[in-house]
Amino acid sequence: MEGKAPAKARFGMVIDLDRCDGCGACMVACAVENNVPPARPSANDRTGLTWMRVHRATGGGPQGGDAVFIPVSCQHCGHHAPCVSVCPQNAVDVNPETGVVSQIPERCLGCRYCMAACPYHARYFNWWDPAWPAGTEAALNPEVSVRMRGVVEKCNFCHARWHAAKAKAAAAGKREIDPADYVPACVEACPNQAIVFGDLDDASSPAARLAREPHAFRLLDRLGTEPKVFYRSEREWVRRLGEADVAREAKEA
Amino acid sequence: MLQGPAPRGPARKNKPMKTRVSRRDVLRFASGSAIGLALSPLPWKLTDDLAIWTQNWSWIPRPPRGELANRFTTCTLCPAGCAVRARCVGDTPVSLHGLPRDPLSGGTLCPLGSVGHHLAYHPARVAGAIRQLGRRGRSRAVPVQAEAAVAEVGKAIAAARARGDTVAVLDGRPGSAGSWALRRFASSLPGAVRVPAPGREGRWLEAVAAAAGDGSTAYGCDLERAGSVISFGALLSAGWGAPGRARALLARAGKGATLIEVDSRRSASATAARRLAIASDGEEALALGLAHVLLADGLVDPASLRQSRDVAAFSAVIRGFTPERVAERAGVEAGEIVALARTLAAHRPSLALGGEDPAAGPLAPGAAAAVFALDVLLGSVGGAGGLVPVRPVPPPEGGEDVTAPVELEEVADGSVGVLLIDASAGGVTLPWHWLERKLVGARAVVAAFSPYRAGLALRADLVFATPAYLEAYADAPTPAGEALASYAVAAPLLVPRAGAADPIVWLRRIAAAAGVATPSSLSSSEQVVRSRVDAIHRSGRGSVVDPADGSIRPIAAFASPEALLKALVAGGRWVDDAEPPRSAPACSLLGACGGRWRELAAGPAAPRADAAKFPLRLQLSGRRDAVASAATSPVTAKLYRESGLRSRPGTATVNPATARAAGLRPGQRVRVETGAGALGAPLACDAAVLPGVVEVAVGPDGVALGDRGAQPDATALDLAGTDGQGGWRSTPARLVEA
Repeated sequence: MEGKAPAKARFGMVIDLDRCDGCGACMVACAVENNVPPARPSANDRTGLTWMRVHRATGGGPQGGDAVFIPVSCQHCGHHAPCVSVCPQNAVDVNPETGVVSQIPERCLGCRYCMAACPYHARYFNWWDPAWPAGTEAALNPEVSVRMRGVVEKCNFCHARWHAAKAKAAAAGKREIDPADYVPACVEACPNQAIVFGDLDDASSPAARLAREPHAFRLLDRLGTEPKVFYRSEREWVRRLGEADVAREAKEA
Repeated sequence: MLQGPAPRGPARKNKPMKTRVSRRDVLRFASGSAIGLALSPLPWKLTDDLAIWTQNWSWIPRPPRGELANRFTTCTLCPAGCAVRARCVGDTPVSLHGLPRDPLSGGTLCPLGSVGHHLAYHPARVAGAIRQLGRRGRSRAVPVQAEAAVAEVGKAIAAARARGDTVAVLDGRPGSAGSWALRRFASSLPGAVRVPAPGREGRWLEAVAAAAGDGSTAYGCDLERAGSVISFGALLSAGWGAPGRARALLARAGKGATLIEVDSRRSASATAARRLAIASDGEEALALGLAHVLLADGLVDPASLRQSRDVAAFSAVIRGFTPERVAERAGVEAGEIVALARTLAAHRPSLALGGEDPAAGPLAPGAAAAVFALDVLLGSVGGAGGLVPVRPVPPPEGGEDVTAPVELEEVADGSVGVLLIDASAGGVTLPWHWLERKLVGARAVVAAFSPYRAGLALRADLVFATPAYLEAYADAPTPAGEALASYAVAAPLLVPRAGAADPIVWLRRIAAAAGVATPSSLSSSEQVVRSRVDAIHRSGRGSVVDPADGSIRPIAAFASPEALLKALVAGGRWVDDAEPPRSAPACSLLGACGGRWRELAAGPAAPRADAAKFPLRLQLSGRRDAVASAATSPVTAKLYRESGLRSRPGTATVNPATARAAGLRPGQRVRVETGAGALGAPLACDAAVLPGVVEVAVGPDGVALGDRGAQPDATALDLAGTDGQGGWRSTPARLVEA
């Protein structure tokens, strides 16, 4: 549970919105890495599953045609994560070693309180049994299990990769992982290197340095949830979006 | 023994032990047990087990189990040829990743490349041969015996030759291993022509080669040393050419380098690249306007003027392209044109780059010539940071063209008796009606080689199954714009589906059925790859970069062609040595466009005759990864439907002002009408689309797989009118309520 033990690390990411061109490589890489199934043809933006979702918003520039792409995943709140406190099943857990907010699907009973509580709309419910075209099961990631219909799921900063990094460190007789061994799929896939990942408590990590830059901001900072996902942009109108509901802004635009 | 006092009061009578169990006792016991059980861990354990059990039904897909191993290969889904690390369980890839040390890709994969390992399982895979019945593009398919299908096409070829009809082979990926076999096939069959796909990447550079010399010297772009790059239609930031090079240029942006992307479509450029939105078909006027400012302001290097044979005539022609006049045609303010020309002159070496759009095809010849003229004036032809000569990759033995390739626009209408479409290497984006016009009519036979029943293959009478990505040998020769020749190989990681065969194998069988002798060389893609690797080894040029560890080994370090092939199959990339600089021969600035430019300069453009009927311009849109393959993984649906990040194929997007003017609302069903046809589409609004423009996305639809998914692609392309010069970038159109 949150607050029981001090985190050994506080993993987070900084997303440079001025570099993101909305290619969607992060979304697809995330789905492949975490075996996020394609939704049924009848699904829509509310019933589909996207642990990482890139929103597009317009509004800047001379005619308001300037666009920005905002990748939004679970923000891994560092302070009173709303999803943790509302879960009746203890199915949402904060890993004291990493600070990562994880969903435990085996415990989840599908009440969706956490979805209602999440101010970032970053949690998704499995409305259907997971299904891929016949034969594709052979191409699923063996390190991540497939979730069943009726549970909530979300980004966990590629937990399986953290385990793999820990196993590698242990095999080498080390207690600490090599930061280069733990890189979430979206970070690895971004062609413009717009996403920087690392321990926010490690002053030497690029992520910690970027998070302290003046152009860095967090979504809905006023709520005091202390998200561990930071954004940065040199465009003021983009930074102002941080205080808006990104999903709603994108839809209204 | 001491005894205590006797109890006072009346003596207590011992009650006899109750032997009968009452109903109340049972209820008490049951209640107590229930409370006790509820307070024990048992029910929670049972609930937990039940939850886990209900998440493991037999129909829930189970990921494969086994040891994970990395294998290295090359992505051949598009011409970029990015290096790939395939994580495999046994022999089956379970994820694909980029390799950061690859000099061309810079270590990343596009969304299509990331899901390439899913394509082999696509529901629209073809097995053996199929016949498609009904109207082309709306047909249903029935399986046929492969031998019967081969015999039918062979007979049609024999009949076409007897009648004097043309046998045309559409080459979907010129330069690839499959393409060399098509060349050989077309050369061995009298009356056959090889038609390269009109929308191929690098077509502008082919025009440069023709304009800058005799066409025998190929040109590439020295982006690494360019101070400023202005691209017309080639979206570098969206992956044109080799994506890693554009990324390196973007990284330099703001530190002395400038990238300006001129485009009339909604662009998803990162802010490091400056986007200059222009009117539809405004590229030609803008390039000439920039040339006008360079000449008028004396910003042209005298040495570069000596490179041209007709500077005086060119100067006279473009005198009419003043910034004010160009502003009207290009939709860019006059002051901005002047400032842009001065920026290019100040940040030399400057490179003007013309390019092809994955969905909307190549630049019109006039625009292509204007961009080349701008390069000459900027002094970037033959010099560092500009257009530099590139040696070709040594060709395979026996793969030479006996007959020259023929552009589609040069093929006479109604002349093709048999059309063979090679879509085995990737999707071919091309309006079908343009091909259909070339057919002799109903008696023409169209056959396609494709892994999927999708894209252009839907229009064929017969489809022959070919291996999907990762199922067969393939290669990745130099991507468009590369300053040094390169070559990479993709060896098969998956077992091909039963009934699928190399297009070369199908072609040889068809030729045999037609009674045509084909040479024994180039009998499979693997043989072409081996032959090419032999040729590279013999040349003694270049070195092999291993993207896995970044090591570089000169070609001399490989004792035999087999050793070189082994290194390439293991993911290595052969890169040619840098060629010593040499000046380009004198060229013509006007080329074949002198007359056209004189007309354009004479005054404002005459209004189109159909302007009242079709007041808007239709532009097809789609990123390279969205159109590179005729089929896509269902996972990419997340980009289209679950996030709205991309428009689904067949969606019409307009500026809100355009929608208001037409009295239409977002979400409404509309009809997009052009002279070529009509399409029912949902309407979306986006302020980034220029007013007066209707953008319709093309490409396979990951949302609806199989036949339904392939239809919108074909239909949206059917709306595009061809300009008769090899392009379909914009078409007069109108929007009406459906």
